[in-house]
Amino acid sequence: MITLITANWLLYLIALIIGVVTAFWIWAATGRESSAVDSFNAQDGLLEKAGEPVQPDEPKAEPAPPVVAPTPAPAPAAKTSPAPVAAKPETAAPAKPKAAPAAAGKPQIPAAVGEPDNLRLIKGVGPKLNTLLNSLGVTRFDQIAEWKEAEITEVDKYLDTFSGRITRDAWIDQAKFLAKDDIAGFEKKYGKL
Amino acid sequence: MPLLLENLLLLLTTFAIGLAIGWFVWGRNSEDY
Repeated sequence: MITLITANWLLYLIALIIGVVTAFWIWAATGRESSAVDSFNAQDGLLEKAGEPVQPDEPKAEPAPPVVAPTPAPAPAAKTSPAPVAAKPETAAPAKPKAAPAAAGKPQIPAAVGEPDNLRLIKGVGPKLNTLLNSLGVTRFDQIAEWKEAEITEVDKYLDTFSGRITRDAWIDQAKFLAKDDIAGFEKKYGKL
Repeated sequence: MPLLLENLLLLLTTFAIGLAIGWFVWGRNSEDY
């Protein structure tokens, strides 16, 4: 058998390479299929719809304080002043601990303003990266589109195993197209959404 | 004839190994991104 291999090693090498290439091809083909399915939902109002899964996170933080504040304050407190005083520190207390841990693990980058976008439309961003980015406060295409070297390195520190993806997958360029809603331009350069 | 068969079998095995390597590498690369 060894003599056979040594005699035809080139043939086996070619077979090995063909095997690797076939595997890559199959993976690429399956990847393309799944991204095509993703884009199906994104056809109409692509960028607006996109934010839906992200939205529930933000309202969570807001409703808590306003609900707590009005309940202890009403009628009975009209004469007795200690009640409203006690209510105020209560509302302030839950707000502070929430803000502190959030700021600790987030990169120092300009915050997103407005409704969140579906970052999965960026080629190379999957469900895990999307969740990670949202947790880092990255939620919009226009936010990513304005990143410079400093922001890239800053965010990259928080991407763990995905480090280097921002430049490798050209997020900024992709985000520029998506922020402008230039789907035609995006698809021309990066393939179908 | 058996030599040819053995040769073919070996080629098929090498192809399968290559397929496994490629699948593994590509799978790790694009895993749950």
